[in-house]
Amino acid sequence: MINITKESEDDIFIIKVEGDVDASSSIHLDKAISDAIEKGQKNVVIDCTELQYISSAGLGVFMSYIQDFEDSDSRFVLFGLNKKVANVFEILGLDQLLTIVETKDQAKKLINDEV
Amino acid sequence: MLVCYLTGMSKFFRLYISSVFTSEAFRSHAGWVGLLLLNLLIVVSLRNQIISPKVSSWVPQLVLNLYLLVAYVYGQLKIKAVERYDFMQLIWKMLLFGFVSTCFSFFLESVLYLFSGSAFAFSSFISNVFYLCSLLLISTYLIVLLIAYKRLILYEKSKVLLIVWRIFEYSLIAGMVLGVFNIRIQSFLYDGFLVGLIGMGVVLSVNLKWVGYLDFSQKCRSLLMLAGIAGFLSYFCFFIYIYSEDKGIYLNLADNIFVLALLAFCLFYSLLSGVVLFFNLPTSSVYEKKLQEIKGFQKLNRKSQNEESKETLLAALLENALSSIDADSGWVELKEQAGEVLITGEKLEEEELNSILEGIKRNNLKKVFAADFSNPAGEEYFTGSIAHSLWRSVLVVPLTIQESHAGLLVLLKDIEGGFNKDAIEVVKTYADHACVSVENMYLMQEALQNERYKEELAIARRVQRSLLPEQLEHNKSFDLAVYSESTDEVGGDYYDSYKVNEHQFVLIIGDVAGHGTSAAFAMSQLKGVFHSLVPLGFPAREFVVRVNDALSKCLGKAIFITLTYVIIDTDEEQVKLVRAGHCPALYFRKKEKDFLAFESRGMGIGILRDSGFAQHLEENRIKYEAGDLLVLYTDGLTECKDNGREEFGMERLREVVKINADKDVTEIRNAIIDELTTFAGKGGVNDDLTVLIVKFN
Repeated sequence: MINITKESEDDIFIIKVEGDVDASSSIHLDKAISDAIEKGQKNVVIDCTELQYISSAGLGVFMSYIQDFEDSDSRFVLFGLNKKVANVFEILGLDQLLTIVETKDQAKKLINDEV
Repeated sequence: MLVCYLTGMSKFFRLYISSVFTSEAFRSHAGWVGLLLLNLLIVVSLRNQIISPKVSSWVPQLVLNLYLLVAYVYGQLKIKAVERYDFMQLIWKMLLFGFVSTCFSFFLESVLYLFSGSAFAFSSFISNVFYLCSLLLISTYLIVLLIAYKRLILYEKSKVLLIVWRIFEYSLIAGMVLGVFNIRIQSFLYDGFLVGLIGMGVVLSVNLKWVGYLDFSQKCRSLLMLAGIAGFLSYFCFFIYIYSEDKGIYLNLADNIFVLALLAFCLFYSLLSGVVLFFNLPTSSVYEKKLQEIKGFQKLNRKSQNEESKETLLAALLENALSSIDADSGWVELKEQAGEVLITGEKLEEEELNSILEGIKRNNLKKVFAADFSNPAGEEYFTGSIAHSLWRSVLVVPLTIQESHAGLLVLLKDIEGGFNKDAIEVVKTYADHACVSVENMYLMQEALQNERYKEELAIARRVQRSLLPEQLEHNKSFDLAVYSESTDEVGGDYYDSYKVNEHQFVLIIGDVAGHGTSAAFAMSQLKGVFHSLVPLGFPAREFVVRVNDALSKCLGKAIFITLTYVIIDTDEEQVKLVRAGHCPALYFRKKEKDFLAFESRGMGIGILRDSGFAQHLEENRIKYEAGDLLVLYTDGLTECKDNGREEFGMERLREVVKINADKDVTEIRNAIIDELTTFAGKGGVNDDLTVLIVKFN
């Protein structure tokens, strides 16, 4: 089961993902991110503090947007990954392509610094 | 004499029981006739004895009643419970029997009358004998008739009815017993008992349900037959009455309560049945119509089970609807799944069809053919009058298939207001029935389609299994064991080996993101790329980069593949390993009894689809020693969850490997799989699973 909430904070669009991202629920995450891009959001932050589990389908979603964010010159940051989820990203090597930090403040700081 | 008689009776009794059970019609009939003659003989001889009053007076009565009892039991066994279609047969047999008895009795009386002048006739003996014959005929006939009527009355029995009937039977038998004591008819108690019996018989006579099951012609014939039976019974009444005051007759029927009650009952039932049959003649057509409707449903049912064609089904629906409500014409239209309309008409030309539609439209009944029926809360049918030269009223019933409006059944009559509520109900039921049949047809087609899909998947599984090698390449320096199972029919795991030369071997293990059919396609692409690139002898890192280049063009947007590529050089005793985003391999050192941790960086295939990929790969080199183990696996192993949703994990894997490290590869592999299966429990492993173990010698 997945629960996705969206909110804006200081010009930063935060997508909070709770629960499990598996083959069926990954579509919701995909839609949330693609909506953000369409609306022209420049700073997208994914709150992964309540993310319990991510399958290869979910990883595929993140992976597919790397290029899009680079092309549109937007910032895409993940924060709050628990140990297990962070490990998954590391094994796959996604941590070398995605910006992953620990807390929301760090994420905000990162974006603001870059701006 | 009495003893002889009794033993003779019991012998005959046994004979009849046995003959009935062997159901030899001729033998039993012969026995029956034999009994009759024997009784005749014995009663006559007894009667002779009466002249010298040594024998008590109740013996003849006893004998007579015993005979009646035997006849009753025999009749019960002989005339079995009647089936619906045998009513006519039963009544016909009763008529015949009555006719024979009456003729015979009449014959005897005529003989007596003819010789009325001579001394022969006046002999008390002769008249008694003749009377006795008639007596036996009448009483036997009445008993047989009683049993026949019992079958009719109890055709549809209820508990209460059965109880009342039993009381009636036992009372009759009680009457028989009373008869033995030869009480005179004037006694008050006697009268009361007789009236009681007759009363019970009348009450039971109202059970005439069997009448409803006959059609018109059967009712007429039954009426005539029952009239005949009533006639014969009237003759018997007359006969008894004539002789009732005759003192010369010893065993007078008029004193026999049993026979009298029975006669009254049979006569009453025959007359009542006749009257009821007569008054039911007009209603039989309605009943027959209902029966026809039911048969119509049966026919529809059978058609839908046998024929596949929708046309035949619709034609049957139209035929049934037309005949059941006497409609004159009509048609059925059904929207096919493809969008065309299927029309089946009865006695209608196309021009007529259009003129009828015109007539309907002219009467502003446009909504008949509009989307009104699509609304489930709307009308369930439509009936009205139309302006047309031939047809005056129309009934339109919508056909609903899989909860959407799919067609119409239109019926026409040449009189105004020709469709009453009852007719509409019947047609609606037919239409519903036909719709269910069509739905079933669709479901059957879907099911067949599913079967085809399942077969295709089974074929895919076989093909994919063939892509995984049976034997893995190796030399004396190392041994291999592998296990691979997909969770669906097809899966995304891949492993392979390649012999470069006598001392260099390549191993690869790969895992496509996800599982199922899409993963299986990518897996076979990987195999193709592997086999085309591996003979070219690239070093490990370059090989993986080239794989990424090749597959980047083929893989879907969010698809990636993780793999581990291993080159074993047995001369240099070295293992070179590149981990492309795959779960880290285990390396067990025999001497130190520990596991090496692979520090190398890696990235999955398809994640970075340009030249930037290469920099994310690192190569590991290990010098192996005898007894060392290299364990390659896919994440189906470590991520397998047990009932408590805990993962198998690296720790458990390391444990199992360590414990079994000294065994040979096959045993180690089996140990791992066993441990995993036990851990997974009822849920099983829900992902593609592959384990490949290398043991260095």
